[in-house]
Amino acid sequence: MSTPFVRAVLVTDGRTDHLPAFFAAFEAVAEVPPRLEVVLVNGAEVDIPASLAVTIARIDSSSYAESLTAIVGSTAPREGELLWLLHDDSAPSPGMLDALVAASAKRPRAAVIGPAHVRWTDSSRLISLGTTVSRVGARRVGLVVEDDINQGQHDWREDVMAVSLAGALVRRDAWDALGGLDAGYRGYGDSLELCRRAWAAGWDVVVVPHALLRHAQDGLHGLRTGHGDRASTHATRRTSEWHHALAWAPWWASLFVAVLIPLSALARFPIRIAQNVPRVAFAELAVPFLVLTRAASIASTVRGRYRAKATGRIDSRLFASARQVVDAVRQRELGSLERSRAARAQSEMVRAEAERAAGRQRLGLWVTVVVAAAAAVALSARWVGEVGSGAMLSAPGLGASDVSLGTVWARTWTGWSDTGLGGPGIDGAFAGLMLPLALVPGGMRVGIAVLLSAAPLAAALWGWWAAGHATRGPWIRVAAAVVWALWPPFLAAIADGRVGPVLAHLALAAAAIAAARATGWRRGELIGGGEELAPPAPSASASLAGALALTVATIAQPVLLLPVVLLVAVLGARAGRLRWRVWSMAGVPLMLGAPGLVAAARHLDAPTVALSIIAREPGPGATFEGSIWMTALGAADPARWAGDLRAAWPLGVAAAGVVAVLAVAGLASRRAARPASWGLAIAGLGVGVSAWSASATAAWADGAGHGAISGWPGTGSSLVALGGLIAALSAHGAALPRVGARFAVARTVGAAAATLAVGASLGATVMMALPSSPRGSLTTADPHVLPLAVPLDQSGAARQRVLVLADAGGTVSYDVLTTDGDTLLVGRADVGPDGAPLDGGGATVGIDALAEAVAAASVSGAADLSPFVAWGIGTIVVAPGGDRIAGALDQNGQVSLAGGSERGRTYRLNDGGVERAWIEAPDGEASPLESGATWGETAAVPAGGGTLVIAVPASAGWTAQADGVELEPIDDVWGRASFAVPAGAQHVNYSYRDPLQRWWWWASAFALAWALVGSVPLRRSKEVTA
Amino acid sequence: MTRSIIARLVAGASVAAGAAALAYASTPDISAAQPRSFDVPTPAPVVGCPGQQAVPVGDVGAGGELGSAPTDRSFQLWTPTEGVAAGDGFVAQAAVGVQMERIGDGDIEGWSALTCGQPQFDQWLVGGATTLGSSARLVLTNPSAAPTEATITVYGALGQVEDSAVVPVAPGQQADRLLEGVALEQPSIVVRVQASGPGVVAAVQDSRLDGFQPAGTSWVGASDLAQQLVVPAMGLGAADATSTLRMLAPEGATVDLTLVSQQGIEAWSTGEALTLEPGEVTDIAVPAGVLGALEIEADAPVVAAAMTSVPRAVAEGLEGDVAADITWVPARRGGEREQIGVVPVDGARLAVYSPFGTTAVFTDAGGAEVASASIPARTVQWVEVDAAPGTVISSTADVSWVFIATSDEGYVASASPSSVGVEALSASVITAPYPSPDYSSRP
Repeated sequence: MSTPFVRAVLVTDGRTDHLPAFFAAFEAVAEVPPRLEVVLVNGAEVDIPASLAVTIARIDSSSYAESLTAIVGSTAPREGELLWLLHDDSAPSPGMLDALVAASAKRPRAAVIGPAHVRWTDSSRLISLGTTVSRVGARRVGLVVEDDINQGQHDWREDVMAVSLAGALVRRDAWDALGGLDAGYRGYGDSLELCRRAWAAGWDVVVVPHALLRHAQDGLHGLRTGHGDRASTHATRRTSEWHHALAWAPWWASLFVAVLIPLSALARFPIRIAQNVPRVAFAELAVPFLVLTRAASIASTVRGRYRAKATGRIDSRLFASARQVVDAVRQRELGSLERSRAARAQSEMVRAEAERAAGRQRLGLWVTVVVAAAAAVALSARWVGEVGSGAMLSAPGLGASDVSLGTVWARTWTGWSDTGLGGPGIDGAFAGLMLPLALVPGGMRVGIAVLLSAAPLAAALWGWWAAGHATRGPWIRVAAAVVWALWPPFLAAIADGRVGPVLAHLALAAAAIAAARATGWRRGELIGGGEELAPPAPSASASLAGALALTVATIAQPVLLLPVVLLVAVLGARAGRLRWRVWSMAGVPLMLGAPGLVAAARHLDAPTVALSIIAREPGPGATFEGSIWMTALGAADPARWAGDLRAAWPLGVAAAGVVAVLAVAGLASRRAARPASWGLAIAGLGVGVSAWSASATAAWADGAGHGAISGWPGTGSSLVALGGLIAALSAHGAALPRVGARFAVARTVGAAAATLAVGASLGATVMMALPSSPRGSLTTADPHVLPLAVPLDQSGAARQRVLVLADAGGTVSYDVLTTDGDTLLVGRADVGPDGAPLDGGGATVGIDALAEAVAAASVSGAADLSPFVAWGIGTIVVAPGGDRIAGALDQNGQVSLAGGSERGRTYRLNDGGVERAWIEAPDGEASPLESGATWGETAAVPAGGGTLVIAVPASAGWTAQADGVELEPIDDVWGRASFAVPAGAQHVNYSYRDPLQRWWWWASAFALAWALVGSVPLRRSKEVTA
Repeated sequence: MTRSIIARLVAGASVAAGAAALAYASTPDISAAQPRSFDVPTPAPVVGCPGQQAVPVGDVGAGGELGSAPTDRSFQLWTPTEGVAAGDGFVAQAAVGVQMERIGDGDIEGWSALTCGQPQFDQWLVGGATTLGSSARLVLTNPSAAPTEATITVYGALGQVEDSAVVPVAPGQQADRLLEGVALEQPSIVVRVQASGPGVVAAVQDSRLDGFQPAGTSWVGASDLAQQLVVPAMGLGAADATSTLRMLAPEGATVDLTLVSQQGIEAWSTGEALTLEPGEVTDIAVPAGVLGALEIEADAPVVAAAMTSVPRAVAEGLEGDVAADITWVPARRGGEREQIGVVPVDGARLAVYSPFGTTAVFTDAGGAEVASASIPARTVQWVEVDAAPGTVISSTADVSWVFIATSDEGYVASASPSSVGVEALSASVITAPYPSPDYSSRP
């Protein structure tokens, strides 16, 4: 056996700070270190200690592998030559070389002998002790857990699938036979490739656990490229793993591996989102495309493998078993969990104290639940039984709450509101918000009832949770939850069926929780002696949960959008390094609220209209009649109490008064001044929002059943409550950790104020719930409001509309229905003060035309009913009690009486021959189309062509085709969507599709899904952390 | 410290800005949410006439001198367009018409006239009795092309009669009911007819016998329901005539009555502060002997009509027997609207009342003056009409009037003008989501 000749090769591009340490370590590696060949790549200059015997070579190259291959091949092999491959970000420990050389002597078949890699900063922590690979090859599995403490537990290891070539000895003859390093791997996976080739060609690969190499892994952590984090190399590393898998897969399995690549990317994407590492998530998505760009390199790898005759069988024990892979993943993920647990580990004494505190908090929670549940039952007792027996909730501004899932979906997906005569909606976000309620067993009818019944309880729970972030005083926390849950404007919104404001109130509490957790601005648990435990660390998931909560709030009440964005912007500016996390909370609400802002921007020339658009009511709502300032400040409206109790009005303002006084106290205090300022600023913003809402026209008349309504100031009041409670609780939260007299005073005053606030809130609620008190406008109705067969015509091929006429004390009220009852729950057609669609691009429909025809039809038997037919109204239903109206229609020869029932008298126009869309031939003959709400088609086109008339207001989204050719829109006297149909057309179809809306929909869905997945509190593993 | 001060300032500014916004906040003007009224073109009017009177009990088998069926009768229908038979009655495409019937013998001997009216949905017919010897026959005519259903409610001296009747009337047809079948033995009745669909033209034939002698027959037309009413003619100047005012206040009322004659207000002690119980029919004997009119002023809506009975000597009968003829003149709102009527018979006169001194001018359809007279304030005057039967005349002054036809034999008939159809139609509409449950009335 010849004496080994160790040829130490250092390839460096100079882009590391670790070279001085390397040279020092190299000098100490042996008494007489081998001569070092320093390869300076691309003109790099390094300071080399003069004491060191070096040979310097200069080379231009784009990769480590190329440089190494070139420099190694530049000299003829010597017998027994061992290449010692050194990295400039590593430092060999003394004795390491001897250990490796000894191993090479012991294992003459070992082509590669690698050291154990340890942390640069802590050599007791292992980084790598050999790696293996799964059968498929797409996952590299380290044989030790990163940062495992080296206690000699791995010293038994010897044969491994692969070692890192950094610091490894490679036999020159094996190097030459195996073809050296494969540059196609771009620096990640080339070691594995070489080692695996070695095994396949009949060589061994050996790790020497007690030979230690400190390795800074500059490349892995992106330090060479200046990115400074591991995520920056994620895509390249994953691509190299697939590169390896494809190169080593049997030919018959290549396709299987190729299919796995995109599937793996798709599966990993949401996990990365949940881990809140968006850069890594997108890197995962990029991997399949990067693999495609590697096709030539992969083919080259395969050729190289065959050239090296590396085709032998590798012992299966060297591969990672499925269990090993699972274990590796688990150790990595659980490792992060364990680390996070360890970081929060408490001493026995602290834990006992914390458990006692938790017990007090639990008791508070139960009190909150009992109080809020009782209030919820008392307030909903009037309707819950009837809903249970099949009725639906209804209110003047709500219409029917029994809306089908299909209607809800169509509204959000198409952006077209089929309510009344129809019209393009600004967006379909509110309908999207209603989707979960429509999915409740029993449908929307039950969903709405559950929402409104359980709202006080839900608000109490959210409120209790939120309050816990500002104070740890159990009774104060209960009081805050009760005040929040029984906030009078919130209860008024429930009583009147204002779904949007109710949802906004609930969501605002959730957003407050999320903001506190995202920023870490929260109180720690109080334990004995006034000591406050450190609060948990800020959470990235919480910020996305906050984004979701704010999205719900701003969809439900768009008036909140700009104030919320302002608030988040200021909050983020004060959040230091967490600013982007905080600012991200506004991203999703802005994305979903963008159409509203765009619509408002279109009307900037009329500022009041623009402000009203932003403060629009996207769902059910009725004109507000009451005192704006009382509602804004959260005072109960005594008009909702029984007449003889109204003198007790101070009870209705007491809770808000207590909150206000405590908030001002917080502002005055030294410790709580800043959070109290935040709270009061939010409250001030809320007051402004109330004023804005109340002054806005929340929706304009559409002339087809829906009059104009003013806004609801209660939404701003929810912000007032939130801000007031934040300020008040901050004062208390800051006072509690104190000791002595101040603590006693704070505690006593706080408890007294809390008791007063709870008592006043409960008192006002009882006043409202008393049987003798007036009901809110929410009440129950039969879910079937139209006579039996009528809904069939609405959903049939003709898609007829129904005009309902009712006698409202001498005035005729009317509504145009496309479903069995009005679907205000999913929003109305968004039209402006002049009847034009607010989203632009649509025709102005004369809203008087229908009203005039209704007036005539209701009193005169000679009334001209053609406007109804022109708008696709095929049926007129006269509600019970409308005998006069029925009398006029009875005399009208243009209608025929189809029947009467307790739901009203039904008249058919044109003997039922009314359509949503038809083709009018030049001779006046009309050929109907089979229609849905937003589409229609026919194969029976008049030979001479004609005019396609769709009984909807013309807008840019309506398009029609004849035999696939786009039809030209033409003007229509009624403002309907009309198109010229050429002679000889065979098949005509039309549809509504707003491309902008579709883009917005998909972008919103993506943003929501992102926020939803990202809000899952999944800890980041080391694989993806910076 | 500085940061805390800044934070406090920001909070203060925010609250101040919010409060300022609140101070300036006001709910927007959303007038579109208010009901909107529209004038509606009046449809071509159509009137219905009940046709000839019928002997209430039909042919009871008696003939000769005891025969109840009239043998000497004449019936004229005057409508601007030709009347078409509708059951036993007639309909015509016109705004007004009149029928005049003269019966010279039998149980229903006497004259009767009636202005053919347009269909109404809710009408009050004040007149009739169902006591022994009296018959009230309600005739419902549907001149429209759609069916209707009339609900008949009868009020008597003791209030609303519990039983009511629902009578369907086919398009262009007629239906009649003897009210004694609904409310028997009611000496004084008021009938309310509420119709669905296109409405109905209703009239009550009030025929009476006094023993074997005819005690008069008359058509009862619709009265107005109002707080201020006028019965423009009663007494009719016949020295031995008797007049009865019948009133009903559906919700109860206190009524002041003023009797005026050709000379002015007549002293009458009874007519002050009369209390009408809700739903109870009240008859009051009114001093007669002269041509009079009655002003009715109530604190709640009332309906009223006056019956004038003119006795005459019997042609055949026992000693002391007296025959009579009656006519009902419904009370109408003061002349706030233009009224039109048709001259029912040659020689018919107008009894014209005015609340203030004026010159009443009557013109025919062509605008030619057919009558005029100076009417002193709060008097009623006879005005002769220089027009042939069938002439449509209208008043140009705010006066209340009625055609009165009398004969030397003692027969009497009246025909009130019609105000229906001359006013423009209007309707107010409002949009309202449906269902829109009425919650305001719930406790």
